[in-house]
Amino acid sequence: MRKILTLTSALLLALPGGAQAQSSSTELIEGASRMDGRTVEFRGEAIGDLMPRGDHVWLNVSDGQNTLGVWIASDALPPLRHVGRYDARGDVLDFQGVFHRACPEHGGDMDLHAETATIVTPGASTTHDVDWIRLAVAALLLLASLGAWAGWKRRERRLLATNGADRS
Amino acid sequence: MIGRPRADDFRLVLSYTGKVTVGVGFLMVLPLATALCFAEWAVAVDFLVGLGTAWTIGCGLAWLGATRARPNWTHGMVTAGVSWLFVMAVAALPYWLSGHYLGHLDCMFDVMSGFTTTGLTLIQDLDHVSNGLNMWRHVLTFVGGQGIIVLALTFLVKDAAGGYKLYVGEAKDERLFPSVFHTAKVIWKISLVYLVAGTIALWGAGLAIGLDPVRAFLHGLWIYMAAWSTGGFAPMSQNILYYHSALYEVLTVVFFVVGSFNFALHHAVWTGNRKEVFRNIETASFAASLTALTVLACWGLMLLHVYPGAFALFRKGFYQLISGHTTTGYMTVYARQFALEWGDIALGALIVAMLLGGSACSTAGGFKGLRIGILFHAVVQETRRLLKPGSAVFVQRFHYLEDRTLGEQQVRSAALIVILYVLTFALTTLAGTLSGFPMTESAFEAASVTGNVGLSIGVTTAAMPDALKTTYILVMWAGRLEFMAVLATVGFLLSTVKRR
Repeated sequence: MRKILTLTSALLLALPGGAQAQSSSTELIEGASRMDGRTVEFRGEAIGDLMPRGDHVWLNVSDGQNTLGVWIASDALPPLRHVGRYDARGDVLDFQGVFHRACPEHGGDMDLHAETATIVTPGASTTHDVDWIRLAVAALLLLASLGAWAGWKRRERRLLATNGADRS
Repeated sequence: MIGRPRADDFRLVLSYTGKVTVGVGFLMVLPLATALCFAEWAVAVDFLVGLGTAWTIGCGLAWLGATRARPNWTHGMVTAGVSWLFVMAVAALPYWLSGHYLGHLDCMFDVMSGFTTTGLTLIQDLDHVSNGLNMWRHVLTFVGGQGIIVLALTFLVKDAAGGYKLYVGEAKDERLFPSVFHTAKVIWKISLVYLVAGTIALWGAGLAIGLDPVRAFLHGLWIYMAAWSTGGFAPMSQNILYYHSALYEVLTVVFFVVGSFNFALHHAVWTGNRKEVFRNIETASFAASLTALTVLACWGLMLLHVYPGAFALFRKGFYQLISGHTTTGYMTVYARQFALEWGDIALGALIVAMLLGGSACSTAGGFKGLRIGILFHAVVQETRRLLKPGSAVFVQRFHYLEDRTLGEQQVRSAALIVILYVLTFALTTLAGTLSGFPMTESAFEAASVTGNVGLSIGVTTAAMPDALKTTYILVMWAGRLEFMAVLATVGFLLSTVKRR
């Protein structure tokens, strides 16, 4: 137990001097009333789109638990090489700024007005290889569906013919 | 049929279920084409597997079930009930292959949520989902709004008498034309014309808020599909909050309100009868309940000082409320904010709004405005009867496409469906509570599931118990089919067992 306490204290002391502890999106959402208006640090992956609005930009940032909207001046945002999408893992950034539970400037949105942003881990393109076994299964299934379709239509024609014979 | 199902009864149900499954296979062409357009080869293969499976099983069932027998009302109801469950399992295959779900139950949950236009989701890492898979999610909800039986009727079923029975089985009894096929085609025509207009509008809005042209188009298309069908799916995990745009919010409100109106009302307006909008019992009922519940929700939010200023209060309060009332489920707040910030009054207003729902024969769920209107008129009639002499005769009229006289049968059937909804809501709330969630949160989620809404207070996650996921799947199914098809299916299955 003593070892765990010592280790935890050492880790806490190793944090950069004067910096707030990083907040997770869950902590911010669950403790929104307490955190409202406070300067926080938030780390996450830039996902989706950069949406410029005048001299600012909206960026949505995911820490793996939730995605939080970040409002930042265009010139305070370092150039991003990747945003998270199907074909890419986005750049991971550290943001420092004021958290709003219900932002008066943005119609009551929960957001973070960031003053600084730093890329801590650059993103990268991701590849998704074709599974050849699945492709073979698909080909077999499509062939099977042709067989089933032919059987269905043949039976329908036979029933129609019997129907016609019954009537005559 | 009723009593002892015979071989022909099974064949009929198999045959139509097969045709609906083939129709779902055709739908997979859309996400397949999307995946090919964006060079998502692995996703394209997943859809080929899905498509091959749907066509093989569908054609196989239709082959096995081929018969000369003609369907009656029970066959229509049972086919609707069975085919919704069956295609859920088939349509879930591309979800499962995508690797974005923790299990096949979660995949089936999302398919049922899409088809029933509920909008709750258990998908993982939505922000990194391919365009092909996102197209599938939104096609499911768009088609679900119109009805998968309506889809099959349009393209695959040629028997007119049987077609109408299937159509009614899917909880759509509005016949715009004598021919049910013509009706189904008009429903699709109305939906597709709005689809083009809505996508263009949201595409423009997307460009204005800073999305690149291709993303703006895709998001516009998907958001429109889910808004019109009152589905509530969105391509990003933050739902509508992702866009940080009042313009986007206003446009979605317009589209989901229009989508929640009766197809018969759309048809009346399209054919020049614009006054119907103001006279129709459903629009009147919707306007009255929306106004009352918005006032109540905003008052509740104001008491707790949840939002700074009137604009933010109205923007957040009204958006979630009208989204719930139309059973859309689009959100501009985080799910947990409902539980932590909104308070009992606003949550109560939202729960009532979700249960009331949109219009009959529309893409919306819930009790439906028509039934609320009929029950309101019944209450007025009974009150008048109490206050006047016993010999007085009362005729209560209402306007629904034409002037109608309130009949006992209408009141009884409206009351029966509303009672079944309330009972289902109560039992689903109980299921949530038994799973360990607080009563208010269970009730909120139960209203959302029963009314096919999609707003969440945080109960619906991949971590919730499998028993609760299964309960929600069944409740979404029952709520969408308005119970009758479900009762018929259960009766059919019981009589099969009894036979043995």
